[in-house]
Amino acid sequence: MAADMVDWDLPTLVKASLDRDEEAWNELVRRFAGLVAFVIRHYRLSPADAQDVSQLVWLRLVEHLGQIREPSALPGWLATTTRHECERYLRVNGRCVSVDPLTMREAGRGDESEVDELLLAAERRQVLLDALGALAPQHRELLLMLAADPPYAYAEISRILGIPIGSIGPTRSRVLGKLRVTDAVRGYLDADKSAQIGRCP
Amino acid sequence: MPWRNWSDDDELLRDIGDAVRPGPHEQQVMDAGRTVWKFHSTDLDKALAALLYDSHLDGLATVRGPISGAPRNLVFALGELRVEIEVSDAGIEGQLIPPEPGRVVLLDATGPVAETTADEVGCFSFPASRHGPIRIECAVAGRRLATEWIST
Repeated sequence: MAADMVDWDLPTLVKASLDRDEEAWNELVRRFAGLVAFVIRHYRLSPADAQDVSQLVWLRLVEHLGQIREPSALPGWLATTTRHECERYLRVNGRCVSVDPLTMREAGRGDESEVDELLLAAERRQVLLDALGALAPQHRELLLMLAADPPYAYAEISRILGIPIGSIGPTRSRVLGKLRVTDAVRGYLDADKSAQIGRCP
Repeated sequence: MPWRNWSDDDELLRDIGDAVRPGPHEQQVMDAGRTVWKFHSTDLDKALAALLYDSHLDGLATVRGPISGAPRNLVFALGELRVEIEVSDAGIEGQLIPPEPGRVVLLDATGPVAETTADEVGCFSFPASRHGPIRIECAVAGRRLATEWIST
């Protein structure tokens, strides 16, 4: 596993994939699978149909990879392509597409703001993953155990990480504090703030 | 959607949990991505014939989808070159334009699945219906090309 690839930026990953670097491709897939799955889930396809759509989206990305001029546009391209494939899939397979009779707008066919929201959700997620990567391993372990579903019992955490049960609570909030001041989270929140300020009323 | 408040310890931890846990759907999407690469990383250099016409997508205004079982006609183009196919329950029939004989390969997400020869008027067929993404690779007028992927 190329763990350092997690830090690679998008242009580097795209370029390495074009050079047929399988690990780079897998990292691209890992990074955006959540986004693609998110959009597919929105259309409530059966598991078999969802499988077909996800294959199609990645096949199209292979087709498209060489034409990407602006790698930062990739998440948007993926979200839009996935939506198109879901809609096309419903139509070609002769399924009814539910339509809101008042607006004649297809249910599930979101407007652009909906895609923006999916992209933002994917971005927030990536920010947290980057932030986790910047923490000390033991701190990261603690957060992952606490965030697991179901969460680990304090006794178990104490045994595995070798810290007293009584210090888990305070450490939890201290480590979350560290996470909030990582470059990833700070950068994201600052950018968000300036976006709010710059926004026209 | 309302974002969780990262100033709150519990909400931040919930977001962390969601961020690190690939849902079952996400795992499926990831597996699909790996499969696709395994069989198609060599597709990067292929000349692509784009979908020009799809009878099932003609008339986007139709709310209801096409009648199930009706044949579907598709035309792919690369410059002046055409690959026309008809997809039905009986399989795929097609023609290369300009018409000429040659090897025609049918691929799905896991690579080549069938191979046939186009006759002197460019006609070819693949019996048996397919399910999932497919594409056709062939040579037309001396040029190797691959059609855009379609879902069947």
